[in-house]
Amino acid sequence: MIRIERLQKSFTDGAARVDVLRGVSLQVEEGELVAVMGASGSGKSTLLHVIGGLDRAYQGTAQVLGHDLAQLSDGDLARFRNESVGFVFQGFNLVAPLNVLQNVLLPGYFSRRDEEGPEEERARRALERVGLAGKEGRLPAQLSGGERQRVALARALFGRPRLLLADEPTGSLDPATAAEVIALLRELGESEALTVLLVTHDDRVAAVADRILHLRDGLLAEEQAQQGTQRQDDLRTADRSRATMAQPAVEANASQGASEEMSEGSSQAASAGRGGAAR
Amino acid sequence: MRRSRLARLVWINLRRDLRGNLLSTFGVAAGIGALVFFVALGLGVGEVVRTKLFPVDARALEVVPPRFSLGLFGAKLDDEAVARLQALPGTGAVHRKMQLRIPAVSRYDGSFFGQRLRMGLEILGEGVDEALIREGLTPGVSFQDKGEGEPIPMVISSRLLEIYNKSFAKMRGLPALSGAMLRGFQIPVDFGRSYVTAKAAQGETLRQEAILAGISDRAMLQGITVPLETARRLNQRFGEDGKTYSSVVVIASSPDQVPALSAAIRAMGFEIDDSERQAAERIGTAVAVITAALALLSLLICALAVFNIALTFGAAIRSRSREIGILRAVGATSRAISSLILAEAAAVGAVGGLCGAALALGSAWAVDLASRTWLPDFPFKPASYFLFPGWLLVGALAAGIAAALLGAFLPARNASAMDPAQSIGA
Repeated sequence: MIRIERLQKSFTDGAARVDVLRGVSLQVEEGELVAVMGASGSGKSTLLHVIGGLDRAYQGTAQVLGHDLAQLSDGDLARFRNESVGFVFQGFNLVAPLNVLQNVLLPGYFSRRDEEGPEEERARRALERVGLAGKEGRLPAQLSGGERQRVALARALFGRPRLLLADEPTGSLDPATAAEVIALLRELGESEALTVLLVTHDDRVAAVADRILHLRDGLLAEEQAQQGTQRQDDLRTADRSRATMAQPAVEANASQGASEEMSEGSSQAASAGRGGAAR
Repeated sequence: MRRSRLARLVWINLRRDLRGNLLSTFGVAAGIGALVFFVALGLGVGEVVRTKLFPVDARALEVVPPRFSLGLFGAKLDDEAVARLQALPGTGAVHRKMQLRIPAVSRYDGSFFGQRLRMGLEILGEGVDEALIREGLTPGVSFQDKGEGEPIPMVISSRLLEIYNKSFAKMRGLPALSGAMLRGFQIPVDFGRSYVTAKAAQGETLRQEAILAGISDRAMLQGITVPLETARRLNQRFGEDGKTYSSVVVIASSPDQVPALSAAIRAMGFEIDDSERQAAERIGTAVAVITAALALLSLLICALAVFNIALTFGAAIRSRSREIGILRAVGATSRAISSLILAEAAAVGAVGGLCGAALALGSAWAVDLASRTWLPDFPFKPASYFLFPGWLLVGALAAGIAAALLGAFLPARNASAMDPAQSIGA
């Protein structure tokens, strides 16, 4: 599914050269949910951008869904992003003047696929799946943070991708809403048989993953697999949090106790995970 | 990217920066409006020159004898020469002209359309084939010479009537005349008599009435045009040359035959009098130069509009860099991004071009109205100084779009070259 070998990526900052990725190799199998963790500047987002075909200036090999991304033309890479990849970003990245429905439809604007039924109908279904039915006509500014991220999720799923790349999807959300979104992400990933690569620096979020990769100074520092039992516990914790937080966003934002519970559960999961078998 | 979706995105994007886009549209409209206004003015004035001031038929060649001839050996415009001209390849028709080679005067003393008029004037005359002025003849009126004692049919120039109406009549307090009013108008003409030539005054004179038979662009400007046989008869009666023609109008079968026909006529030893054509061309050139200068000024305004669009779109692209990154992330190619930006510019340009054309039409209407209201009636004063052919209005639209595309070219290129990963992180 994803095969990255000796991936190197550097930026120039004025006269200085900054090596962001310094030879990362990894492999992700179909259907896996993998979390990539690391401190700010460790190269997590850059890794995601390379895998998603947004960044082509790198050294090494990036093979995703059978494509050697370095070999694809601009048009083929755009098609790859359009048809095979769904992105969810920390800042939601919705287009402000477009309403909810238009934002979800956005990938369809650039699709080169043959029509498979009315796209608007598909977009509405995607919104239903993320619990936003009836809010199609609203502008992003009229939504809460959690709702915006759900719109971003619906947009990511609209093109029926095989790979979902989520870059700090809960970074701009309060803990309660974050739990909601993560539970939804996991649920959609499973129901849609998606391969999910999740970048986060939050242990609680990473806890729902099958595997956790740790990036440090541009290198894959350690890899940990979450044991089946432990992951189930984590998922239950996440579900509990979701159930607790499944109420209006304003109310959820104020629910400090619930977020503490989430935090506690995640810490346990992370410590248990570290003791798990490494791949 | 599908066109309907491109159009929807363009519409949404244009609405979001309505003020900036309206400003850009106004800039294009001002430049294109000025350009269309001045080009239409040049075309309109040129049209007046061509059709009213110097109505030149592009197919007509006025053949005259050479100015310097070698007596008996010089080329003469007689019947034999006319037959040779008629036989030239590319000749459609041949119309003969013969000047009245004797002096003539008219003394008028009587009622002139309700006013008393007393005047005497020298009359110049020219005899022509009926076919030359047929389109100006009053229907049912004969243009044949009926001999002495009978009225001579005469045709006057429509330009002469215009000058009389707009200038002479006003100065003398006389009524303005129309073709209908002049139908059947007669003046007495004394042939063989002159107020300015003493020799002619001593000889025999012949008085004959001249009756108006029509008004034509092809009639002589400063005199009366009579049947060719009348000129021949009068010239012969007074012992002047009644055999050779003063000029022959050769009508080419098509305008593209004119150069070859012209060369063949010159090869026969004749000259071509293109003084009217040259005058028309000189004035036409002057009009074209002035129009070009004004159009250049308009192009400067267009250049400013292009610059303004470049700045507006450049700023818009910078502020929309994250959004462009999102579009790239969901599958837009770099080409789709530049197409989107250029389509937005094209929409601004199209609206600007249409508004510019409307502005020019409105301004032209206002100028014409002002002219009708405040300017005195002068000879050849047109109902409109402007001419708006379809191609000019289509051209305005095209120029508006082109100006906007030119302005948006660099911003579109920059937008398409944006790194999507960096843009999303911006």
